[in-house]
Amino acid sequence: MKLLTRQKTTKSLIADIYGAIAAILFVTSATIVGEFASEFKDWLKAAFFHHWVGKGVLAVAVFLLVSFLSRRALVRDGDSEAAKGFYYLALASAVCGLILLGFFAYEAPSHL
Amino acid sequence: MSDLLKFMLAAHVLLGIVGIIAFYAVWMGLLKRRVNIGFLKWSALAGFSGFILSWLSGGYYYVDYYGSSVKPVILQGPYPLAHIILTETKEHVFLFLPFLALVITLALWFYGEKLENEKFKKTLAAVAAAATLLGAFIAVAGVAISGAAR
Repeated sequence: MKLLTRQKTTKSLIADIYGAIAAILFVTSATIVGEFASEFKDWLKAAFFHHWVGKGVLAVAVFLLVSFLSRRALVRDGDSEAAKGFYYLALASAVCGLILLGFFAYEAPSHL
Repeated sequence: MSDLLKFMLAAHVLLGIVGIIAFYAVWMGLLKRRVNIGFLKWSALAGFSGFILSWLSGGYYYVDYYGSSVKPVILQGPYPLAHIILTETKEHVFLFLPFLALVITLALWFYGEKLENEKFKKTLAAVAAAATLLGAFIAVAGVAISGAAR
């Protein structure tokens, strides 16, 4: 299929990439904080019925907030900036996934 | 387990597999020299829909049934690490997928012309790879958790 050649701004896409990175960082940090600070986990349960539901709802809120603020604050634009954002998004998801796996493996003996 | 919960569990598994296959197709499609943007768009949309619906159906099962009925069986069985490590990691990594899927889908539907830029295409492929591999990890973890509950 022939691709279009017209240049267009990537600001909205970059803002959404930043929102996704922020949501992933939030889920990772909230999960680890929740394991150490039972008050936080209890608050999530009380406010959202289940701590997992709470983390999901708050992750969506973080995504929307960071994406919205980035749309207003972003000064950088362009295909290369979007590509850089994709790279950091892929990296953040891989590293955060490994951090969570490593964290729960490290903590496992204390639960046995 | 009620019929509704059985349906939700089956839907969670099947829709998750649809999402993984769809993003694997996007990943491989983006590695080709000539991309078929129409195929990539619909694959990404199918994958995004699959992950969102799998999130909702799996979430219902997890919140309503797993914690009260499956988790205690695993913890008292011979493979408690299946819950302590795998379920705990799976349930949280699962929350990453809709955001990865959304960004890929938005990029392909609204910025498809940018795929002429090699750097844009390759890094978007890296995001699709992340979605595929995290999805595959979640699927394999799910199989291990199911085995530990038997």
